[in-house]
Amino acid sequence: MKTDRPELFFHLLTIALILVSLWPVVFMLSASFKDLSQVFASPLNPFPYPPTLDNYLDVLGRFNVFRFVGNTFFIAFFVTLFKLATSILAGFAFVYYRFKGREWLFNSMLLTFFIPTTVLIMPNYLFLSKLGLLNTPYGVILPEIVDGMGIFLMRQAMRGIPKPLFETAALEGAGAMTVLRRLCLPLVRSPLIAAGIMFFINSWNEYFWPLLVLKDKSQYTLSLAMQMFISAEGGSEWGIAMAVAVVTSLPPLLLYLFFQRFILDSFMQAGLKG
Amino acid sequence: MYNILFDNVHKSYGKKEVIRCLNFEIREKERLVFLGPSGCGKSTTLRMIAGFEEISRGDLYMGGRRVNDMAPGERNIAMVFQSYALFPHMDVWDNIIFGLRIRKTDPAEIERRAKTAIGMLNLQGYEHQAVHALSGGQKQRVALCRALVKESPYFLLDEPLSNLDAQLRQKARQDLVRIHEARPSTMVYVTHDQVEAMTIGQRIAVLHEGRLQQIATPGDIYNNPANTFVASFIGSPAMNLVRAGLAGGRLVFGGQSLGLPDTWRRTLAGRDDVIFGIRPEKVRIVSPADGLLRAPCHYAEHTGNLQTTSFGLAGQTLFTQSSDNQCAIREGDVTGLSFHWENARFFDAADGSRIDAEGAR
Amino acid sequence: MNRLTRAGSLYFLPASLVFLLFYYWPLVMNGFVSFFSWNMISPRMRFVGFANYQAILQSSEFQKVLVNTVLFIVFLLVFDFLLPYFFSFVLSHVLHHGQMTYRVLLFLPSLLSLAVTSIIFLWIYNPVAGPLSEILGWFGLASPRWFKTPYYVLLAISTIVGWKFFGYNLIYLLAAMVSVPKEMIEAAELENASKWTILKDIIVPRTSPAAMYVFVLTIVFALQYVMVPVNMLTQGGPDQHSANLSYVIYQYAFVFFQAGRSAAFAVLTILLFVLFLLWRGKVAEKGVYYEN
Repeated sequence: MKTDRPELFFHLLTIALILVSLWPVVFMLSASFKDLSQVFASPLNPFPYPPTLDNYLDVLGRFNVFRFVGNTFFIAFFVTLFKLATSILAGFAFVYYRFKGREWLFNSMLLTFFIPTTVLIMPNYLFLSKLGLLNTPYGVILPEIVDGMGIFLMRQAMRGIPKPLFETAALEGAGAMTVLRRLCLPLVRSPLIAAGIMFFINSWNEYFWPLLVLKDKSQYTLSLAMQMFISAEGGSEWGIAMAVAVVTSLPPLLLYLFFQRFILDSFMQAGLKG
Repeated sequence: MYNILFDNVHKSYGKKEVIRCLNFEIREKERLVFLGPSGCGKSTTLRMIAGFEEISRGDLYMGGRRVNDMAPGERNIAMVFQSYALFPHMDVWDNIIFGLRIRKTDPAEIERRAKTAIGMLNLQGYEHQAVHALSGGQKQRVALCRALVKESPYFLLDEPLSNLDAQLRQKARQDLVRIHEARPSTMVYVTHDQVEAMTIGQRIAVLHEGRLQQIATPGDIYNNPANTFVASFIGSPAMNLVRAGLAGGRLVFGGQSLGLPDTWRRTLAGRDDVIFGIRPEKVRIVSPADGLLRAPCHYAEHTGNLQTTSFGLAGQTLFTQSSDNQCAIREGDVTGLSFHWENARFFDAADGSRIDAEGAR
Repeated sequence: MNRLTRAGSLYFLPASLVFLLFYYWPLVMNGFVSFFSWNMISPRMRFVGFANYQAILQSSEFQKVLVNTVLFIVFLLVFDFLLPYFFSFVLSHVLHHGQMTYRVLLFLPSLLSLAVTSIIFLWIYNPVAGPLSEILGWFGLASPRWFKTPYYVLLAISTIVGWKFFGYNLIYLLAAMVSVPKEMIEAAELENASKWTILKDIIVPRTSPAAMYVFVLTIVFALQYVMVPVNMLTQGGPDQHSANLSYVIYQYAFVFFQAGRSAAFAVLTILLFVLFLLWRGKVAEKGVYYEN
């Protein structure tokens, strides 16, 4: 197929946009391999010369990075697990059962996705302090074990299962749990995994709520720990900060590297149904 | 006793009544076909038997037990859906034994039943194929197989052949009858296809607008339709139905009048008009002089073994005729038409119900 | 399907409970606390009636915060609504190939956390030695002190959030764009319709539900996501020039320890939010094309 001239222009425009949007990522990577003098001397040169691992070694030596990684993973793992569980259960029940007020209940759950979370943080903080969960990962996890969008996506996915399949199971006397386990879960595996990946990445990346709940440095997640390396005055340790940023970004980027096609496709599909 | 009894069964969605007052019995081990145009309520009725649709009013009995509030899983029903409803994440074998496994049937018994059913439907060798790799006909047979292994006394089929092409459909019809003969169960079959209904059903229940129009053997339905709806729905081309006046013992339509035989004269006495019906193949083309009627040909159509001709009677009424004699007739030809009075049917002009001749039947 | 049984309602229980406790109860709590003067720690809460609301509505800070909130929203609508809308159209209906590769690369920034993004951009915007100041230097321009100058700070922070969420919204809109039936566009092309006509008369109406969703989402998230860079880089400064409604709610509670004032801000935010949703509902009825 030949590319005509206006099309070429739009190709160039898109490529320019891609350069702009990838530049900060490239910059983060390259700065993490530069020593401080290089960072300042040639901020625009993406190639560190010579590349150095000092920043990473520094991070490893001075801070217990693995502890932060462990904390972040612990929270992200359980948030993902519980979000999936609650979304599957509720999403399934919205499809499997009919009752008065079903749409109302569903909308009230979906609406939570749109409530600006800032209006919730102070009361939730007080509630968690009553429960004695402040400064623990459980305090971070507890309010996040549900997801309005997750319930929406699971309901959409299970709605797509043809009704006669449910009826075939009903004729065999299969109960709700059997239908969920033997019929629904295998059939919504792709959207389920996609939702899981997104839940994990979002929780991994979260900053504000952990910041409020976790006070003790030993409980910090990576995003919180990162702040220890910078000061708003444009302080000194840029290379190290970028190294921590790279470590923080690595799991989401790796997940994306392996599952990009899958993530994007299920993302686009979910979008369509929304 | 595995019969199914409808006692004043009604079904409505909100204010809209979709099934009105069903009263009939499906006998044990018979093949009954629900036939009707789309939206007539045949599928809804089948789904009430399965327990997927609630019954708004009246009672449904299966084997003497009232089942209105019984869950589908407790009714011991096997069913084949139009879409086949195969589980896409399981292979053929797992699909077939899905129900047995849920019911925790003994593995040896599962094996035995599945093997027999697979044999009956010639599915050997496909056991471990993925469902999506099967052809339409194979999928249909797997669905049938899954229903068979249940060995249920009730067997429901919801338009199971409508996704097959014409040739496969004929084969599948024969298979179905063969299987039912080998393993008789109370079989209820829903279709909108009259050929399927005539070939599969031992009895046919014709439904229209949520009402049962007639329940009878295929021959009876064809020869003695209970009303004008059944008469016009069954047969292709459908039965000729002509509104006719009655005057002095004569039938008047299309600007012509015919003397009625005595029985009909007596039966129809006192009426001003009536609907006269006759099957197209019961009308013969004869010379203008010999005909009871004379009419110009509008249109002639040959389909190899059949010739269908339509005639105009006083501009308004179209008469069609089908026969296998290849007499050359062209549009515009005026010819005579003849029939035997025993093949004529009469229907009430107001409500369309059939009028039986006095003394007959 | 099946009638809801008692066992069936158990499936809703975990989600309902958490939503109730951590999403709906806080709304009530905010209403309650907003009538008190309280430092969040002391056991004594002093009832002050509408004093918190009065103080807020009469303060010049409230005006400033409102202006900031609106400006954030406007900037982010440009970065995360108009721009992705345009490019999703380009990718799906102007370019004939490359869509797959482009979307993979354009989505990538969405994977980085806002915290990471904030730190990267803090350096990029560094007025002394940062890359952007270098580029401005080529043109003989001096870099402004992005995070210290009123209004510039809003733009700078908007680019951070905008950069991170661009890909997400792009993918969403792209999904809507590719779902427009090809036959419809081919029919228009047979009539020799220009790309512009196709966009205006087919694409825009057909994608309006998705566009509406992204529009709402951008506004909602413009409210809350800016909090991360604001807290990490400016703490609302200079002189509250980067504080939006979300941020002052946090600030009054956790920095100034005035829980009542924070709650009153939260209630006002919720009210504005509800007004916005009602307005959206009205617009949706009129201007958005929904199938079925």
